[in-house]
Amino acid sequence: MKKVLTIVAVASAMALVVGTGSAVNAADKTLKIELISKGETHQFWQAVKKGAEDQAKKMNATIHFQGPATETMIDKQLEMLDGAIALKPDAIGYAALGTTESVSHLKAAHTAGIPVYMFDTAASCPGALGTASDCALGVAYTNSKAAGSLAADKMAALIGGKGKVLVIGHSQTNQTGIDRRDGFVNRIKAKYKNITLLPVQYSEGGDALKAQEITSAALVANKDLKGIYGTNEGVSIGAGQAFKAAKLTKGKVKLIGFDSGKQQVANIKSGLQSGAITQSPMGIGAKTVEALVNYVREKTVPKPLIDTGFYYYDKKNITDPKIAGNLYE
Amino acid sequence: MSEAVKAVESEVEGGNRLSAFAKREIGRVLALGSLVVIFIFFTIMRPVFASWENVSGGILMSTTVIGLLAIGTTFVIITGGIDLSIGTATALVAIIVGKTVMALDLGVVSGMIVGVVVGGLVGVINGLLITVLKLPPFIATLATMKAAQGLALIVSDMKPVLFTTDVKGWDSIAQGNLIPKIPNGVLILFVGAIIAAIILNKTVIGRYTFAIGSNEAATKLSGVKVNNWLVAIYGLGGLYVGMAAVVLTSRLGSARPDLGLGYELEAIAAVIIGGTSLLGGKGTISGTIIGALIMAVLVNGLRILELQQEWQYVITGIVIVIAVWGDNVRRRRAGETS
Repeated sequence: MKKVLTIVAVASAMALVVGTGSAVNAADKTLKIELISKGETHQFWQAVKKGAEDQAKKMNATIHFQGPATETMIDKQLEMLDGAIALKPDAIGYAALGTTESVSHLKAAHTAGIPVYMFDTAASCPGALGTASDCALGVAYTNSKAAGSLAADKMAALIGGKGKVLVIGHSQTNQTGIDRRDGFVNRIKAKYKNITLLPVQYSEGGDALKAQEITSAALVANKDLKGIYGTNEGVSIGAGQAFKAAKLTKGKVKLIGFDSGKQQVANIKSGLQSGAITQSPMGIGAKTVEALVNYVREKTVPKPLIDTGFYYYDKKNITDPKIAGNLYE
Repeated sequence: MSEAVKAVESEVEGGNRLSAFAKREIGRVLALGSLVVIFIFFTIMRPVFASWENVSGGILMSTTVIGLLAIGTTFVIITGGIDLSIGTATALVAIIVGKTVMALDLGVVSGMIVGVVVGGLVGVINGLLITVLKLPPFIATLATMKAAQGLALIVSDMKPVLFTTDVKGWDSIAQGNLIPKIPNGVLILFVGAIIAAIILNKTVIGRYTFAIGSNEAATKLSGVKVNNWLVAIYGLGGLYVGMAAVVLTSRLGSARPDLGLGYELEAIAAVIIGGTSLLGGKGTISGTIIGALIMAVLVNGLRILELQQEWQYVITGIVIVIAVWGDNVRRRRAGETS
């Protein structure tokens, strides 16, 4: 009898320990988050990763960050997304490359009960984002259209509101590329009637060498070219190199780029390039992780749209802490 | 297929040497003709296209990287092989050159040597995979292509390596002017082409390149150490990858780990447009240069015309089809009549 009682006591004590133990674990468990990015190579994605890692450390979560080698590999990225779903992590962060192709894959994550928050670029989810959506809870992003139209205002100011301007895009298919282009083009068309836009050229994937060749050709074809707007880091650098090769006097043709990186920052400091728009990549990573952890742990429903901000910077304000913190080498 | 066999047989027999030579020449003349026609077309559409500024800084400069890759890979394709790794190997070599030059504070010449040597090593690795492990060239070089892409990212830590501000004269490798009005990058391309043409036509390695491509088994039976020569030929191709990587970094002022993927297809296209047979045994360096120039003239011309980019792609595709189809038709006719 005594023995039985002891066993019961021990068993119930154990059950208690195990029970409370697992309860404690549920709240404090290190959350596993899979982040599927659009790339790994550009330092922009490295900054997103850094922001996500820092935030994860603060919130007792671990992240696994991956992305395809180039931003044109939609299939590769979807394989990564499927692989992440199969791992059954606590949450997934996803930056859409194929905005329509990814929707069915995101639905699969929803079916598997894994919450998804998107970052940088949203997939074309049907209906509104949120807890009712079978696609994603929301997206932390830079309002690229607004960023593009800020670049247009800056360009117009630099060239005195008239002349020929060329837009070099880095993608005809990815949403960020489209928005950065359209934001610029629509603003120029609406507000600056005296600026002539040449047909948009594309350096697919932001290939700096192709951007250089496009710029060289544009300089030959348009002796009166006033400005170039490049929609990502690779394009901006390629255009700058073409200016160098053509031995253009600094500032003869204005160049506004996107993002940062050592070479682009050097070009802006030297005056070869007028300025660039920077997003807040670390903010994108941090906000995504924050939204997911709070949702999984506290059931706090994140906002469907989190705007992480952008800034125009040039030689003058490049050291401003608000700017400098977002620039990467 | 039977024509291919016939072609190989006639090469081996050597009886038809004169007519085979004539056929080869006609191929090149036709390619050169298309180049001239395309050039004249764009000049009429927009005369500024023919300005020296555009020809040297636009067309010829654009040919440097793809052209050097195409020269090296011409050897490989003549052996009946293929090298898919040259694009991403360019990125890997560029990154290694960048890292080495910056870490050891090397000058321009030593930097170029590093590039050529590392490029050659990648080629030798391809050669060994093909000859020692007996992997088909397509698979061996596809594996190297993937590995090189990954290594470029790993070695660079995903960050571009910046040259210009730190290394004196690095940008002059491609953009300086040893000869007035001709960018050094263009000079490197043409000197590289002349050296390659001499190697292909006047040396043992060149003779064996053709022999292996025409009939590898027969070459082996005649006592040639085919495997050793294949390693050397892939290594030789690698040297040109190394040079292309150096020119690329000089043009950009930096080495970027995300560049290069896709360049292999542009280079292979240039080789084929230039009349080299994917089946092996036939090809010329001058044809390859003409092929690379056709591509560069076309792409540059369409940009000068400021056509919508979508149409630029479509037209580029159509011209490749016409160029290679025309050559095929001519060969078939020549095959039938001979």
